[in-house]
Amino acid sequence: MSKKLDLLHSDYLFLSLGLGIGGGIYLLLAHQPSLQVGVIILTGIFYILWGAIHHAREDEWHIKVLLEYILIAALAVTLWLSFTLRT
Amino acid sequence: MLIHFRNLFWHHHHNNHKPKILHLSSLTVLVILVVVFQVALTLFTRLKPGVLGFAAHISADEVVALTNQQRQTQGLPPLQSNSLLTQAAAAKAAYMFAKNFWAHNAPDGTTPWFFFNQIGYNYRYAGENLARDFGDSGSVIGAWMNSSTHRDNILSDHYNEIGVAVVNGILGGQETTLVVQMFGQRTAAVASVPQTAAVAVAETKGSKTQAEMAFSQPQPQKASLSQPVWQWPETMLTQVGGEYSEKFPLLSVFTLTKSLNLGLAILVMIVLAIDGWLVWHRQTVRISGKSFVHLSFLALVVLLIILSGSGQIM
Repeated sequence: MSKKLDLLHSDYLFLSLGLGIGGGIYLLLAHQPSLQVGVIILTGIFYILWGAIHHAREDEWHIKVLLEYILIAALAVTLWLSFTLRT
Repeated sequence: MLIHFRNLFWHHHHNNHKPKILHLSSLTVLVILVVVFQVALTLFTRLKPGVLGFAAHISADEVVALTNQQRQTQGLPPLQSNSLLTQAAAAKAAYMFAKNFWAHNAPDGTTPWFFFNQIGYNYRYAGENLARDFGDSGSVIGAWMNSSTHRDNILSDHYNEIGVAVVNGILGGQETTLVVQMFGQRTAAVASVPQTAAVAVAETKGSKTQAEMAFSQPQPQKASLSQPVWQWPETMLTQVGGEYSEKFPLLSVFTLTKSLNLGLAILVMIVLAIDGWLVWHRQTVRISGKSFVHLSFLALVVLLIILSGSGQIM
């Protein structure tokens, strides 16, 4: 039980780190939209992969779950990207 | 109507205990709507320039004052405004609009030094900073100061004169505001060949790297046959030290996109927060992703959109 909890905690820590690094690099590349676009897309891909791996480790993997992560990532990336390209 | 609204945002057995807006079909529609809206906005700005654009409140005098403020904090003497440099900066901005490019060097090979020479400013040292789509003078200076090459120009002791032009126009089919900042130190004697020149070059486009370009030696230049002949509009030559007095667009594309994107993201976040709480509170079992994880990703995007300002530098 405690091993499973540790596993989950490490998953969330990894997600926080990944999103934090993506956001940090995005801010560091301020006023360089062409480079920021790459960071946004990579962060979106990271999120989808994290969702797939996390739910597989929790034995909750399902195609609907994967699709949900893909669509949430697509929505977030579209909003983020369209804003960045207007700067 | 009320039932439909409830199903969209609240748990109910009609929506399988998941707000309809979080269903896969609704999320797909939301993504498509955002894309279609952005494409429509881009097409509209191209077909109807001047209605939507970028509303900037930048003053050339303020840019000069803030530049000198930065220099004084480093113990450097302030730069004197020079009308020739201001005209050269205005001409460079007009040239970018006329030739539809955004760079130090034009696609036809015209370098920044052409504008110094053309206006009759014989320099010993010269430099150029560019910015576009910023909302105010402080943001422009802030962005330049955060870039080493642009900061080097602002804080260079090689320069003693400055000229700034703030010009509105249409670039790439979009209403935009360009800021051109030119630095110089004149030669004691009139000469057409510069001894040294430095230009802050953007970190992105272009074949050369920043380091290669930052202290590049420009080719000897004369306003002669080797240079493209281009006459800038007379209005450009008269706007010494001030902004180009063109009408501002009615609505900023940037502000519109930012507001709508933030609004949509926050709406989905609120639904996710309520959904997450209800799932936890009612111990609902369902095949689904984790609401609070989705919420954190969208919160990051909202935070970055709020923290990020507009504008590009080169």
